[in-house]
Amino acid sequence: MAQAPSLASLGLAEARAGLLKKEFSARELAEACLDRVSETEPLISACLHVFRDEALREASLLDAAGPKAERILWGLPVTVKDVYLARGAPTTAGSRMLKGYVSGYEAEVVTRLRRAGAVLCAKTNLDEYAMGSSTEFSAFRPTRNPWDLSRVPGGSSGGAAAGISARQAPGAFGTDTGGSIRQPAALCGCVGLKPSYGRVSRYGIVAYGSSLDQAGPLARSVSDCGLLLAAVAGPDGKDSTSSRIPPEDYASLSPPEPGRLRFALPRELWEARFDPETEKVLRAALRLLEGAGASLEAVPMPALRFSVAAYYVLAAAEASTNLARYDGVRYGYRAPEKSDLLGLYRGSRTAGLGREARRRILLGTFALSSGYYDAYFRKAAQVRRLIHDAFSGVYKGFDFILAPVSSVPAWPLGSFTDDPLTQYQLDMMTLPLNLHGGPGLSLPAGLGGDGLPVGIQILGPAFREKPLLEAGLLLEGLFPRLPEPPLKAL
Amino acid sequence: MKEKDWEAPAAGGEAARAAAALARLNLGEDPEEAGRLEGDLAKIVGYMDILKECDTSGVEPMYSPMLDPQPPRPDEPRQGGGGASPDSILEAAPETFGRFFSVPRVF
Amino acid sequence: MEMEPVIGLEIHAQLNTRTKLFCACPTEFGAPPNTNICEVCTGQPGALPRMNGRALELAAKAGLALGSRVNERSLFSRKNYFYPDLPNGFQTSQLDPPICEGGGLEIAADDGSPKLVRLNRIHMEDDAGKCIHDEARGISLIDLNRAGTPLIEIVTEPDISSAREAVEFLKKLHGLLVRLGVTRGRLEEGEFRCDVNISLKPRGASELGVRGEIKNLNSFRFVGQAIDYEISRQGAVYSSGGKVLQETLHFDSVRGETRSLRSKEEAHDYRYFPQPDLPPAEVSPDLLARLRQELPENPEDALARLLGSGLKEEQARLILERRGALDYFDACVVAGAAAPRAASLMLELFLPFCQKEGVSPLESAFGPDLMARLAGLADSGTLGRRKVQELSERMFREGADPEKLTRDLGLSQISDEGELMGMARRAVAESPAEAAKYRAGQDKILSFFVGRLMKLSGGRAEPRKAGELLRAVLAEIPDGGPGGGADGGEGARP
Repeated sequence: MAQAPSLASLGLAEARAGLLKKEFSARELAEACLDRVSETEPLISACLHVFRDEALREASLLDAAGPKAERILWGLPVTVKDVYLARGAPTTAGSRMLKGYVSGYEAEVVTRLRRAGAVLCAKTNLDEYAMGSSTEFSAFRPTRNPWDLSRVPGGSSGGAAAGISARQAPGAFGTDTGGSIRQPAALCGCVGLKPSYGRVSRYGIVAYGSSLDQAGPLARSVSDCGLLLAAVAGPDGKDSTSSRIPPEDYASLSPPEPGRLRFALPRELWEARFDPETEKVLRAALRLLEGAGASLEAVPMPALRFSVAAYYVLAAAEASTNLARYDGVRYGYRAPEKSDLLGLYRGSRTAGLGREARRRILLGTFALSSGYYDAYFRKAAQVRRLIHDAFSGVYKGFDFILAPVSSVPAWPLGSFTDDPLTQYQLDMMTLPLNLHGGPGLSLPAGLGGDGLPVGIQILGPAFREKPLLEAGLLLEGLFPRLPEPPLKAL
Repeated sequence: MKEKDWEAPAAGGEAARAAAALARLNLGEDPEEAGRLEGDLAKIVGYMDILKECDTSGVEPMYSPMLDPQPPRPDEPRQGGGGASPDSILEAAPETFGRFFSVPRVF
Repeated sequence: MEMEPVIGLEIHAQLNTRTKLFCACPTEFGAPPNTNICEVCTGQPGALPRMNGRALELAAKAGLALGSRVNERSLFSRKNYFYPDLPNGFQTSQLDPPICEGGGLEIAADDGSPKLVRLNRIHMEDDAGKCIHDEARGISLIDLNRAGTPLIEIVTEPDISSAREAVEFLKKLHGLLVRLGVTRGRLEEGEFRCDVNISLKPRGASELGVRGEIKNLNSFRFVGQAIDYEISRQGAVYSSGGKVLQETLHFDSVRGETRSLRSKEEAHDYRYFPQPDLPPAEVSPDLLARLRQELPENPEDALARLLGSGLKEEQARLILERRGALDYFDACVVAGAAAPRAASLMLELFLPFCQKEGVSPLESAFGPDLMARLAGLADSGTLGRRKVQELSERMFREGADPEKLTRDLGLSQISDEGELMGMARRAVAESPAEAAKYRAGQDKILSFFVGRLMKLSGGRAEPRKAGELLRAVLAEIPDGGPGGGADGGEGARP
């Protein structure tokens, strides 16, 4: 595969500067990205819907009106994960159930992106209803990792991360319920931010676990993530859980003095069993950070031992009722059952929902059902409180928590599809953050000897995305810069 | 994950079938899948039993991390656009009768 | 063995809001199917609820008026089940804690003594849509206009012992909630409906029997009939040595009997859990204080006050019964109307207009200040009864000033004696034959002269004074008239 053309390789900030100086037009930029999409899609399958005509038309309209610096994403191509509704466009959530569903309204994030001048180029692939960490549970096709096409990109926002990594677009939006932005960002070698719960509106985003879901950006640099966040963050009256805390200025960041930073390293995560290449990269990253003068300290967070169990009980319970609306009555797939309503329900839901979605619905239904509620759902919510309090305790003595994103690099397709429990356990690095609710930033720590990227994440106190991004800027400067991915099977 | 970490499953086939009935799902698309899902569920629930080892006496459950959320809204009808129009909603329906959604007779 | 009934009620009242509980769709009744719908109330992917603040206030207000404890924080929960009129696959309701707990309402027990029917709780929830079953086509049709309409469910303790008590409780509750503006309470539109839990136990026993639940009654009469039927049905089961089943019943109002609803193929397990898309519902102490101030005085106090201001008991009761009438009446009195006059004008003229036009009193163009002026004109005798009626219609339609109308239309009553005397003389002079008959003893002929005089005055003569003056004129001996003898004759009577 040839290197990406120069325009498609630009990051958001560089492309923005070029657009404002009229070095190239929004249409030229969109065209370069869309050409790159056409070129790379046969290899990686990152997108479920590509809006070539609409995007070029939109870019031309923007060009005709001339650049507007106050529109922070003016003329910049972006993608959204296929759980964001866009008016008049299909939204499948990666599910057969929603094949052909066209929404009559739009996600608040998409509306804000349009307002900021962004050009929506594509909707990206995902694990069905964002349930998974490999994008193999997409009902349509798996996405492949640009660093090694025989491997998964991670998930559930695997299409978003693969697309960013393959230079299909400079910015993408995904969702993170238990690591679904940070883990694919790490496995594909890009930057991904899960903002605080309530920082970005969830309105118009297909729900998975309502108290855990959060929308956030992926890009090829920390400051680009800041730009994307700046365009969408802030209160939304349509999402009751959206916070009234005013956003910070995420578009202008400067790295802090490393000597002042205190990072906590949770023992329970760092003492896990790692893939040796991954471990090497992570240890090197820690040495770089320490070398720069930052203080790193191992801290015990014993409650994290229960986080996988607590997370999967809570997420599955919420999912089991969030997905009850997919019943074949008002929209979506309906089984060809003419006489029996119960048969219609069961037929539509069994055929329309994939195996992993059904597995989590069963688990969640069980955890909420009479006789089990206290032992599973309520217990998990109590454990969540302990985990939350553990985070708050750490932030009293430290600026940030530093943690691995995944104990393994991207794995070969098909490795765990029949072993759900093992795959759940692989999420142990990322999902504690969603139980807490604060922000987390995943960024590349380097390439392993196997040629696969390894990520590291910084976690911070709720609604302090700006200092988190600024610390990310510092780390980004310390860690080795990744080359373009080879787009071939290793 | 080592095999011995899984204790005797709390959710056997009966629990799986009860959950499937409540969730309006067939346990699987075929008997083989049903059997596998039953097994998965038992294994997963068995793992969840690790929660029993966590001392949570007196701990208030946490159901959401929301902070300073939106207050109630005023009782005012929507002003124009924004939301999905009734017609766009009906258009997405798999089956309608006039302006009604239509399903096989309830009883 | 003598059995006694134990009855508890669950009342669903639709809150009087303009929009639904969790979205801004209108709650109006009778719109074409699926027109008052949006992504939220049809459960589209990605849609999220936002609570209607007015609904929360009305629910808290109901609790205050019923003496309940209003919780500062209550939680919404999802109640999960599948039904085609339930778009999300769950109803958003409240489990623990609900917005209000405890409280009660006093009624007269069957023996006449006062009895407190205690409330267990009041909680908020959204209504489902409507399912219409088309037997012929074998389909059910779903209209989601009603889906998401705000309700409160009021749950009583099992303190009720008869159909009469239940109906009295419901009527009193309905009146109170309507007066408070908590619900419009239109029974025929399902805005106030009730489930009845009923069991029998041996008189004096403390253990409750197995109960039947009669669902969804929307008339007071049906509640009474259904309870009476169910008491005798369960009584018959017991006396024949049978067992009453715990079941859900439907009341067939045509046959006047309860029938078991076909039992669902599986037991319900609603899997309630806290609704993660909604913050707790908060009623701050400040809000609670404001709501408390907004509560109207209780009906007993209001009645005493009205009687004290000179109203007849019937008038006072009618004013208390009509929604908004008391506020209007009070405003009239503040604007200077004499209380009895304001009451009679309201009951005879004003409230019937309001009812006919479907306008609530204080919203009418015929404001209390205008009513006070009209009452003044009536009290001073400036306007007669019929003229008042004429004016009030224009005042109601146009909000016209009665004083100005009276001037403009020359409507004011003529009570000036000199003016009326002139007319009386003329009327008598113009009909000498009738005058003679009167003088001959045909008293009834006086009304003929009153009629003539009214005509001469353009209908403005004050009738009583006109009669008096005519009698006086007719009593005068006409100059050389034939009536002299009659008069003399009368005078000659001993």
